[in-house]
Amino acid sequence: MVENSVLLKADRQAPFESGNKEASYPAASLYRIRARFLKTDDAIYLSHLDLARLMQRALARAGLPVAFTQGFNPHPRLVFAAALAVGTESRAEYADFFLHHPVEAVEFQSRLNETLTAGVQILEARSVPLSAPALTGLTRAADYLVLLSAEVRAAELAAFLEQEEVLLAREGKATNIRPLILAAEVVRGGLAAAVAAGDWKGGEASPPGDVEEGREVFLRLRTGSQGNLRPEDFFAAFNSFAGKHLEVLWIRRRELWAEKKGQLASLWD
Amino acid sequence: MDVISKRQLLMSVAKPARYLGTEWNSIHKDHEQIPVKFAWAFPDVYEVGMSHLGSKIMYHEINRREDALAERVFAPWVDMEARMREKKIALWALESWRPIREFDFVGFTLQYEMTYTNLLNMLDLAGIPLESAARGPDDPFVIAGGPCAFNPEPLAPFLDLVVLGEGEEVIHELLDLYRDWKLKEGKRGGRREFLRRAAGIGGIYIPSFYAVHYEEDGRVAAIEPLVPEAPRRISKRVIADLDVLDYPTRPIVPFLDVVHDRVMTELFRGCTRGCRFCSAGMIYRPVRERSPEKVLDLTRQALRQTGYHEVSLTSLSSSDYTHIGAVAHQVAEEFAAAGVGISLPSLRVDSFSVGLAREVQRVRKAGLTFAPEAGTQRLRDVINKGVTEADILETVRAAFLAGWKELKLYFMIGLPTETEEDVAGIAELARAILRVWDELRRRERPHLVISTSSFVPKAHTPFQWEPQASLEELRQRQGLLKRWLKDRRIEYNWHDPELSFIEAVFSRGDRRLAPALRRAWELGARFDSWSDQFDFGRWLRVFAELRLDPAFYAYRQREKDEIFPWDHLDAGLSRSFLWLERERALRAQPTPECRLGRCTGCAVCGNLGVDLRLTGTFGGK
Repeated sequence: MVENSVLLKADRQAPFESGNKEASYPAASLYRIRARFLKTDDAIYLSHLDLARLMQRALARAGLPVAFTQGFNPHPRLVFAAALAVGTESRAEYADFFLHHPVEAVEFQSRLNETLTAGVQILEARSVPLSAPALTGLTRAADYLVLLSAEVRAAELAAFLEQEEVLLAREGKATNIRPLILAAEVVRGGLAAAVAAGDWKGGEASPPGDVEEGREVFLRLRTGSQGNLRPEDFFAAFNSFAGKHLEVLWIRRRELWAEKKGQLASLWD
Repeated sequence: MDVISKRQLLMSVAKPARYLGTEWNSIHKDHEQIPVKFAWAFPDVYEVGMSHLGSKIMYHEINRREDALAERVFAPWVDMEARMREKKIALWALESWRPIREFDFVGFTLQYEMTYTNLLNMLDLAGIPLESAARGPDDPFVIAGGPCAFNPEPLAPFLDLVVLGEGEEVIHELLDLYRDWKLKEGKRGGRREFLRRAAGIGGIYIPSFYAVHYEEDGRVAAIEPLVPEAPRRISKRVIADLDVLDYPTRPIVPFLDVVHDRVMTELFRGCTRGCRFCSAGMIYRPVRERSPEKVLDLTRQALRQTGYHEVSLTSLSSSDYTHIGAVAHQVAEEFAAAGVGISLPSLRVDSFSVGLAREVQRVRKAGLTFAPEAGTQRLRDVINKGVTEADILETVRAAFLAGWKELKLYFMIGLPTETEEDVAGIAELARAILRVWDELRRRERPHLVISTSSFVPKAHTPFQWEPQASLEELRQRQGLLKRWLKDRRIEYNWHDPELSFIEAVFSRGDRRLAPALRRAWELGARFDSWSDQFDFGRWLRVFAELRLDPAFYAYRQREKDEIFPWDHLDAGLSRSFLWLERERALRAQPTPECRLGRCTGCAVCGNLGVDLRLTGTFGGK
């Protein structure tokens, strides 16, 4: 529903600009806007599909000229970088929107934000060339800040990471998730205070190696079609390893990463 | 509740988005500023309740007032209920997350008898005493409306007040009365005094103001008003002209995928086709159409203010709307390019057309559903479903030619006078339909879905005197159909007859069943309409324990002049009309519909001082 590379039909019009029947656009003129958006407050509890639906309707309300997919069940064409699990807050979700009529990125952002609710907001929007690679295939990693129910020691985390194999049961099979863990650090970022204050911006991670023990952990995990690990699963495996019963109280996704020449890179490039 | 605890609670249940409350178009008012607080309670889960048009209408109607607010509350699913009981969290309204027991009113919509135990469960979870008599000055008034309000007797001890009929006008009369009683008189005289005054409003029924007396054989002997304010009969409220209503054009857009997730524009109310089994067709008369201009205008506004990509043109029988062709065409013209599709629920076989089919399929094809209800002409004449086999086959052919290959057909088993021959008729009809397909020589395979439910006799219909078919008969006939419909092209669905049996007990039940509702709830009955929750054995044990005979309610043939438990509740119909229709049914004599020009004498127009209101010429047969 949200990942579809079929080119739209040329005569789709902007919704609700009534009477605008004479407009028709050449098939090649699609415009692509990439946006980074926030998912906080009640939106945390929406599934990826719920979110996609929410976006589609907001686009229609905003009267933005979104292109439609063809076929049996035409729907607005938008593509997400990576699905976010229910219960995770994020300030770095990315989506590409395909329009059949040019709209300035800034205008796109403000019109859409006016009609978005419940903790979804566009933070940044840029025009992106049509030739740029598909967003879905780009994501390689994600950064998280996790708040736990009790303290964990940096030494324990380090011991956990020293293993070559970390097994997690997935769909009846035991998978080695160690290669999916890129970093795990105890940090002091003020996440608990930020969450309590409803501040989605807060929670900057302290420099690595600084904290010996704490309830906040920074994670960098593989994300996307080439390997995906969720923070909940990381801690399920860690609890097993350390014989603990840590509960995940909050998860905040802080960034998504692509990869360029073996290095993590921004999704904007 | 702090954010972390909220997350812990919501992450411990399925579909946390059911419990949030900040959807687009949800209305959040300041409780400190608003004197009249109304908790609109739908006794089923979010996904079911958010599909209900009546709730959207009343949410809007109450929130239009500056002195009132309406917030929603749904039945928490069993996992959330367990958490709430464990952590002692009282049932809360979605918009404000405040406990509903702090509201002035908790209003339930009674859509289906098998949600009654959910109603009790919600009161219990809210910390509101179940019995009306046990509620005190700080408890909300527990009120109810909706189709089952025309026989709410099994719930009588639990409800303070019942509203009969359409709510848009009476709700304001009730809330005006309440506001003045609360603000100007400081609730002088207490709850009973308020109910006495409310009893004077047309359409309002106070169950505690009546005593029901029974004969030795169990039939009702009399329904006696206990106070001077209680009228002998309460007549339903009906809105004469729908165009004057402030119809909701900003309906809440749900967070989840709900059963009906689209703009719903109400074309008309009522239906006078006169199908004899149909409660809705009897209690919502007369037919009153909205003007096509209004329909289009409301649709445009709602699409703009929701962002939905689908419109449902809603009514009891949308293809009977006098301007359906023109309106469907216009909506399709204006909005197809924006990717907005149309769906038409409830289509009649004999007013469907190819032209209509084309408008509906322009953007995306929804399935097509028809309800012939009976398999032979004789039985269709008995129930007054004036559809012929030729109509059915012609319509099906038109649908196939227009590109549909999946059709759904609804039938009922256990209709009065039904024989095995009639059941066989369903299978024969299915085969005739497949032959129509074959004649068109398509390469693909059609998918015919045949769905049968068990007939439940309803109050205020010509069949209110009739017994329900026995469980053995129902099971046996479904079994026959299962055999006869074995074909790769046919999918046969059937409804659990045991659930229909319990429904039949309550649909014509009286107050003596109230303890059974309570006891069943105590023993864990909730969400009975969900197959994995329904426990037939539990119901039977409850009836046995309380020495109630369910067969008395479901299986008994009533005498012509029997006093019904709902006789004091008036839907505007003449009882002799209903009896006459019953007699004609037994003779398999159809009655033509009044929109064709000839009044059938149901008397609703005269009794209620309203008229049939069409905006064009009725095109049906």
